[in-house]
Amino acid sequence: MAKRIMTKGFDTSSSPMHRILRHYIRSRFVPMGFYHGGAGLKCLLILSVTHYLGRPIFWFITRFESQVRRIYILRTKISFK
Amino acid sequence: MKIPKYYSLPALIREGKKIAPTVGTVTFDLFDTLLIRRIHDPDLVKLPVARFVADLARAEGLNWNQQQVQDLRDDIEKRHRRETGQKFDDHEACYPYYMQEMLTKIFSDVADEALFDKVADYEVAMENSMLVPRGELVDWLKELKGQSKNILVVSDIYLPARYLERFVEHAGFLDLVDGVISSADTFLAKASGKAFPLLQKKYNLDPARWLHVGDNPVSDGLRPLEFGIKALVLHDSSEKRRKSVIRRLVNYSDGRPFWRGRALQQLMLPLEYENKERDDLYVEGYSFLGPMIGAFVQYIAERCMNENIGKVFFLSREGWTFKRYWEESIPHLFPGRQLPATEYLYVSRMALAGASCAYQGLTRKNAEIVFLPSGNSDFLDVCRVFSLDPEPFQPHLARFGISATTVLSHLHDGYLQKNRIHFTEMLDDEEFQAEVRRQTRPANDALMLYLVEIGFFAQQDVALVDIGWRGTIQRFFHEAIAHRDDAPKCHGMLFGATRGIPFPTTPENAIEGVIYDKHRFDFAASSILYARDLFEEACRAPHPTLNGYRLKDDGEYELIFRHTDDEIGRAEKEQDKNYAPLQQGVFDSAERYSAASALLGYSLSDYRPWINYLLVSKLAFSKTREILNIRHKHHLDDFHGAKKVAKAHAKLPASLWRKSAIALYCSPFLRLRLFLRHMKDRLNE
Repeated sequence: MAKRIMTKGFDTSSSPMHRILRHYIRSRFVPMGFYHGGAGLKCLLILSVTHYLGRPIFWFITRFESQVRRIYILRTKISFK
Repeated sequence: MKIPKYYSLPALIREGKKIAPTVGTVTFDLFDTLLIRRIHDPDLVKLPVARFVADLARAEGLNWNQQQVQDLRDDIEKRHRRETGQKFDDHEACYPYYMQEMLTKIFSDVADEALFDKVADYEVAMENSMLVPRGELVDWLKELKGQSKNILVVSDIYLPARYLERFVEHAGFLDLVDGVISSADTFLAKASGKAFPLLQKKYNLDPARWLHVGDNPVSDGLRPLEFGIKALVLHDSSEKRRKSVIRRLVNYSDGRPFWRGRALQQLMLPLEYENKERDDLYVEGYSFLGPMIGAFVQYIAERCMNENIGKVFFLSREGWTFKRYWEESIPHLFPGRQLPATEYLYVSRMALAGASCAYQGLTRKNAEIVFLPSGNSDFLDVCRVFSLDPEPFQPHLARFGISATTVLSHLHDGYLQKNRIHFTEMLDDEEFQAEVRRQTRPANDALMLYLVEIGFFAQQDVALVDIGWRGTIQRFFHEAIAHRDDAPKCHGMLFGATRGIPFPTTPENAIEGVIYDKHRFDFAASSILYARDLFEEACRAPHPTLNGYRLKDDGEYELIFRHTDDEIGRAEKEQDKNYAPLQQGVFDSAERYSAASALLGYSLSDYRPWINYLLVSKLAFSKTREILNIRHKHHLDDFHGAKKVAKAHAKLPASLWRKSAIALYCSPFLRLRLFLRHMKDRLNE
């Protein structure tokens, strides 16, 4: 059987993000060992979104870059206040 | 002025092909257009260079660290850019000028041209390891060349054109371009638009018949359009997404060490046309075993340098893979450091067992080791393991009331404890031991000749690298050389140390499990015990095992290898063939590992959480298809005899990697149940 080392979503085909997510969930119930703090749910979710839903998101971001940037600046200002 | 932006490479190439018949010259931007970087931030490539310079400085007795070198470089580069900005529109810097100045500040008189070339070569090599040509663009380039277009590569960067040519050459399309131009040579850049008149004059170009392709809306879009050149700007959403992934992984790595190993793997991923369809086993070798072996050899290198260990001996046969991985990765990972010498050492448990008895005789502990594998049961097995001729021992056996076939292992039918006691008493008998020493002395003499020839005794400290598991090879090896006054201190570094029997640790002879060690409680890493044979088979050298050392009549030595024409030999060859893609994947990952690890600046302790995850996920919670694909078909162990075990002891502990496909597919919660049992066993240990 043949496959590529990198998937179309820029993930590793051997240890894809959903496998890490599954491992993370499993480790909530069964002690799995030493991972130096582990993956972190937020990091896992953001990376999963980038790998699996990144295509439409980045399609949008690159085409509407200036508008997205304005929203980003606005969000940063609000969060600073 | 509307800048023509294209959001994917195929769309840009389609438009470019429409325009191509109307132009005679096509200029391409180099970075992020013809070449893409594996890393999101090009400045990260400068960090290993700073480490390299700091290592060179320390070797000269100068007290510099990586951060100080990097800060100095940034300061000098900034000043050069400021000074250029006073004379030209572009704030450019030229690498040879500021790097030479930096090296002079650090090394004073030692900073000659040779040193500069050494540093520049390393910087180019690091850049090359991170650059990948965009496949579809290179295909288009070939098409344009076929149409006799004038093709130029132009870039705004601190490196002069002669270095850029090396990147293009490494990427494999230097023959397709007619010229490479860098802003560092003239300080006239695309950003201000000054580069285009320069090109027009130098190559006598007509702006109306000129197409420029790049990724920057100003430098590659607005400026050429202002000069009357047709322009196409690539705004690749897929590239932005890829860079976003690696950027997040690198950033997360700072706070969450778990992601350090994943960031390493992301940097190791093949891009563009490198990402071909591969055999499943190749993928596992590249993505699963490769990084683990990389972290293992990196740890060995670091420890050897810290503890002044002069030479690393990779023990056959698994050491063959470790040595090859070392050769392809470690020199690139530590270019500025004095690395220990390496040597492949032909050893095996069977070959060393006999040689270990030449001076100390057959010890009780070593005799016990024979009966650890369930296939050994009697004195004939002892003779087989220690290369002894059983015939001269008949009178000794008779004196103690046992025979060569008396069962001495409790795992076999017919075992009587009194026979084992008689056997132990025989081991204390001086006449018996004299016969053992007489028979094993030639093998030890031959081993000494071999070790002298390869310069083993010329070292004070040596590292002995092996896959694992109980450390019996090193135990026998050290016992065989212990009689010599010049025996070096042996630092055993095992991939995994299961320590089934206590190792006789002394200051002169110790072992350490690097990825897994039973003495260092690491539950996740203990998943390696699920499939030890997989690691052995995957790393095994393509030569038969060593049976012994023979002293020839002329006083020379000879290495005796196992013959390969019997059933076991053929099975081993078949296994080698089966695992060939797996091994290829491992070796192909070495170069990428060194580049990625050098760039990230991490070592085994940083990668350990990820390696632990890989071990648990791939070995304890592996998919059925993975187990069926990866698990080995044959495994040779000459040490393990062929005797049948008593029924009461015949049952093997349940192992996920020995289960049938039906059990793997259908047995409910199989992996979880076995994992919980594994956990119980480890805690009981």
